[in-house]
Amino acid sequence: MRRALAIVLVLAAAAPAAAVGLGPLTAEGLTDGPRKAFYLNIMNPYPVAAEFETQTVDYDDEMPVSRVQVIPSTIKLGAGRMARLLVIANDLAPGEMFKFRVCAERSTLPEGVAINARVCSKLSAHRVG
Amino acid sequence: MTSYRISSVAVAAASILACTGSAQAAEVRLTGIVVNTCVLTLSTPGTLAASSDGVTLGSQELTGLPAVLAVISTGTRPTLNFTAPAITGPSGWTGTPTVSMAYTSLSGLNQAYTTSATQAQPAALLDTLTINAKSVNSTGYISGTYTIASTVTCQQ
Repeated sequence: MRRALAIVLVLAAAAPAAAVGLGPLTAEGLTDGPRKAFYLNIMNPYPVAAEFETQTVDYDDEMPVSRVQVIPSTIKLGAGRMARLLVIANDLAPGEMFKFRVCAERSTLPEGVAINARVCSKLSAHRVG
Repeated sequence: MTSYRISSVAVAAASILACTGSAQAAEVRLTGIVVNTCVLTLSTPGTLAASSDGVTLGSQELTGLPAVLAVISTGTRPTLNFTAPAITGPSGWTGTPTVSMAYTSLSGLNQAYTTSATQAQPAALLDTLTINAKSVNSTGYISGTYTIASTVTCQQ
């Protein structure tokens, strides 16, 4: 009886259930002002259109970082398409080396998907002036 | 950076130049820059099934299936970080399950079942991981849908 109780299909899909691409995985740059911008490329490996979202977090942990803008922060991409994201680090103090990560993942996972795929780029902005 | 020389084009160009009485070599170069990127594709999400004694729910039980994750990276081999697996079940389900996850890969990764977060670096730029998960609960499982979840992050 117990065998019959809990046999459950968690996931089943022919198309990729969770997928995302991002690059470059590292970038660093100098600036003489309070802002530094980076470009990242986000990719949709799905055979269908999908929406992706980004998060900005600390370099070594998952704490959100508030002084970084990603434009756009969510994006819908067609099958196999790539788009460019603009990342702006703000409020850099003179001499500061600011390190953070920008991570991308699918906005909403299909029901039942258990492995959430995420890709992160490690960025560092150094204000010299 | 990749460079290609297309000799057939050069030969054709040289033939044309020979007809005009001028002998000049032409070289065509196609170049590209490879940067560090990572693409994760979960081609098979995986299926959990119950064990014959009803205590274990796992992808390696009869009728269960592992998840399959393709890692396509360029530039430098990335690091994969797996969060500790966690299970969700139907409302009314109680117990203190032990949830663990294991994986192997074509490039040689071999992580035994663990309840902790793990980190791994594939030995190749292109790799395919087979991921298994299980939950052991001494009080069993009521009817409903269960999911063992983990987030895998690809980064340098």
